[in-house]
Amino acid sequence: MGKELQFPDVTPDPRVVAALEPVLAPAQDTPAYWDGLHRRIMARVADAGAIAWWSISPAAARAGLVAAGLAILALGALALQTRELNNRLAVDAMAETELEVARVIPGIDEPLAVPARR
Amino acid sequence: MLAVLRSHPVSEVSSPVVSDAADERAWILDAQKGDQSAFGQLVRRHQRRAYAVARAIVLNHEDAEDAVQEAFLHAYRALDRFRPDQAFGAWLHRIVANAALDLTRRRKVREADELPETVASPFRDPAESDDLRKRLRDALAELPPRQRAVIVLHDVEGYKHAEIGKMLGIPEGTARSDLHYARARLRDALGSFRSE
Repeated sequence: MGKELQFPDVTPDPRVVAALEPVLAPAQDTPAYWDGLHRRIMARVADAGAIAWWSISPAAARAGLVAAGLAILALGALALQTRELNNRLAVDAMAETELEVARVIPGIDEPLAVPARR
Repeated sequence: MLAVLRSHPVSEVSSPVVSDAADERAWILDAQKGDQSAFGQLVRRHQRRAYAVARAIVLNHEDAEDAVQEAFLHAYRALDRFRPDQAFGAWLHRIVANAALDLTRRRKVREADELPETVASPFRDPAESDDLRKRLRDALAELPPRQRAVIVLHDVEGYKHAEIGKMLGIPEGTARSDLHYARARLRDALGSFRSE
């Protein structure tokens, strides 16, 4: 059996509602009381607003996180690219040095002759 | 207080007269841009009902005030997530109910940690004199906080079961059964008083 049938939506019992009224009312139900509560609420809101100038909204925080993530990815890619370039330059430099040495000192790149054993 | 609330029944609040709705929408949009005086207007319009919802859950005046203040502060901070096509009252009451339920849970934990003789009575209203009122308070106090919230939101504030379910994060059927049991308990309390 559905809950609609089990607990039909009957109208509120006026006796219960009437009895609830004083239970739910504040001790002083006067305009002054409500003004006071309003002032206290707004004082807390003002405090929250005062610190809000340096705090950031969730939307801005999300955008910031995405931007930071993209920046980290870009920096990582750049670092990889730079390292690859450096490696290639180092290898090229080494090869060039070997060629230059071989030109200046002929035979340097040939294997050393092993002395014959006696 | 509730006499005043009844002069603005929920059917009106759900679809208020055009100027009220237009005012509220304008206040919300201004408040979302950071206008605190516009938010102040929203507070002024909704604080009474917010208090009644909180009071029904926490039962005492001081905690109800705390819950209302917490709830409005939370609402102010979360205002950028509020869509103006929603009903502000229902959105706010969900925050109020959650703040009050949270306060009740924290109080329970605190009281469990305290010695029995230091546990404060939740009923500190000096105006307490009416026997019927006391009996009803006792019956309300025996109800789980969620059932108290459901009966007040439905019978006093006029929300539908589905709306209450959304507010309290429970299935509609649970709101129905909560209301049924809460009413039965309160009627019992009233009935036994009348039969004496």
